[in-house]
Amino acid sequence: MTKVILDVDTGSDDAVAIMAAALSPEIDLVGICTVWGNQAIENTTDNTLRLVDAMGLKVPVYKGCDTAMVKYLTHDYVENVERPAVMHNGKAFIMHSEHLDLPEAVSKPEDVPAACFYVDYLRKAKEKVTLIPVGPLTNLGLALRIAPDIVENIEQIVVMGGGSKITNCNSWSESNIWHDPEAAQIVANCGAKVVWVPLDATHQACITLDDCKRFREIDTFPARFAADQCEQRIIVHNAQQPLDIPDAAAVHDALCVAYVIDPAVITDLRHCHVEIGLSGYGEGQTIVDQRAYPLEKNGYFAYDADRFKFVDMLCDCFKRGKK
Amino acid sequence: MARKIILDVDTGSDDAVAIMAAILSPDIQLEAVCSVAGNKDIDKTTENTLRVVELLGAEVPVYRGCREPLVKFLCPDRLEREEKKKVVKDGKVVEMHSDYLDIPTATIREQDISAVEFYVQYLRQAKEPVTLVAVGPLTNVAMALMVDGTIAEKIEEIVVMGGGYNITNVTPTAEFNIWYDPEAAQRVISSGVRVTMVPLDATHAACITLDDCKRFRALNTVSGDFAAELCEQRIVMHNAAQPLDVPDAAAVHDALCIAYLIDPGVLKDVRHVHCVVGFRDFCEGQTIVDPRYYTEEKNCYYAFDGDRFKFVDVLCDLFARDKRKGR
Repeated sequence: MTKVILDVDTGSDDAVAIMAAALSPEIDLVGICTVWGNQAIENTTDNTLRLVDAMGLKVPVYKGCDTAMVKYLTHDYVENVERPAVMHNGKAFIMHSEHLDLPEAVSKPEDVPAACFYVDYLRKAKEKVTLIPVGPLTNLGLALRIAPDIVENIEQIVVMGGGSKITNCNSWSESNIWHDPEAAQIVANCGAKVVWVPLDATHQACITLDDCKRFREIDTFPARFAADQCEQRIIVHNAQQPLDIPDAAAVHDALCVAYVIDPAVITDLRHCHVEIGLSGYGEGQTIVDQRAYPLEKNGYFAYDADRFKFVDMLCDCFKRGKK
Repeated sequence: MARKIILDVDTGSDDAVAIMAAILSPDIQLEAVCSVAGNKDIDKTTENTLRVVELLGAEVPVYRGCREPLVKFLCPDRLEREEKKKVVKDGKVVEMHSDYLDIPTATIREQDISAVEFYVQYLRQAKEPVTLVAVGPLTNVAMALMVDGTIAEKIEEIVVMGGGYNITNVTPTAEFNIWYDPEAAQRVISSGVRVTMVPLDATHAACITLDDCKRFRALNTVSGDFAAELCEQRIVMHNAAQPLDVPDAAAVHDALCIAYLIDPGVLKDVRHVHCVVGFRDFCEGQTIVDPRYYTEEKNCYYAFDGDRFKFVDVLCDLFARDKRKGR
């Protein structure tokens, strides 16, 4: 079993990632950190707790940071245009609702902030821990600044973020990295093994409406709830960023969890030098050094993934859920 | 009642004087000392801090702080610091801050948790507000405020040694502490907590002279003697590299922040201003004070002048309280 800490801004695809991690027999989920991103920190924390309660999990949740390390200290950043909601059958859909459609949370976050949890847990860890941050990297950026020595107890960091040929936030960046480029740059160069799972991989490993039918046939809570999330995402994808495969959506965050369960789900992983753009029309870009003689390789960048395997893996996880 | 403070230092010669002053003052209850990288790397500033605490036999916990600024060195587009000219006296190279303070190696150790964790834990549990006195780069304080913004409610005031309006030292626009971590400084100044900036304008005015050093020595205490040594070393440097208006004198920046808590009169011309920190290019680390009549929202108190006579009197009173007789 691999010890894992998830870092989420729940979030529709974050929800699928949490369920997969919690249900996989390969993963020992020791903590979930929340972070701002898809929604404000209050919402992402509440949504995470709602899901933890709905799943009946005994995993501690640590509330994380509410804004980027330094991005908003000046006016020197590129404004993003908010996308309008997509109207479908008379209802408005966005990629991440403010509140997950689940009963209100009873559980509370732990009394320790997420960055302090990372430092304390990793310093005391007896075995190496895999980190799966799938939101902005603020918590981890801070933890690495507070205690750079925690790298010694990190097995690998599997980041959902970035894009080489595909972006979503603006023409050069993916949302998680754009939200906190400096934190991402700290992670990129921290010395731990970093695996970047960018849009190039997650768009390949898309989930289709047919896949959602498979989830529903499993008829457990996580399978049904995952189908809900994926269908909502497909509506928004169809309207705003249609994929090559019709009626399909990327479910980014869950792919990172699948990679930790079985690395074969990523089919083209390249060892390379990754750097993050920090300002101007480069802010939040994951810059992969593609030259014949690149700068020192500091990470692994995923260019492709196997969508059939991905869906099979998710189905296996969801079969283990409660009815 | 004694005012509770946490001191954040990059010890450092003037930091050492500040630590001694804080330990000896009956008006101050020194809860902890946090180290940070700045004048020297984090291993040295932590060791030096422990040495000073041990020299005075103080029971104050020391927490090791951040090794690097928040983000400054993430991209190679920041201004390089100019090469400093070497100052030689009596055939020996003199520095503003020696690598290690010339006092016994510390046998006490820092605490197990980091400075940022300490700030968060301590302030979350604090029953009454605490004053932070940060006289190095503001990395630790900014990090703590980011990790948990609610701790701001527990901070009575943050007294910062840093910045300069008409005087700078590390570049034509910047003072060292702010220049070393501009983003952290901006976080702290705009945190909403009451911030008092003690910049070079105040610390150069409140200088310590060779005659003042004689007064320290005449007290015949460990702290008086050690402060005199440190100030004399600084005077050599100031005379060679940045002579003050008063001859044979040195700024002892960090200690002025402690003196301010004991006697606010050591700072003069303290104005409520709007201040922001420059991040890039020639403004990197500059404390930009809005000089306009209709300024942007005022966010800190900025000291434009200091009273050197009051300052020395405060220090003499403190060093006289030291029960350890001469070095």
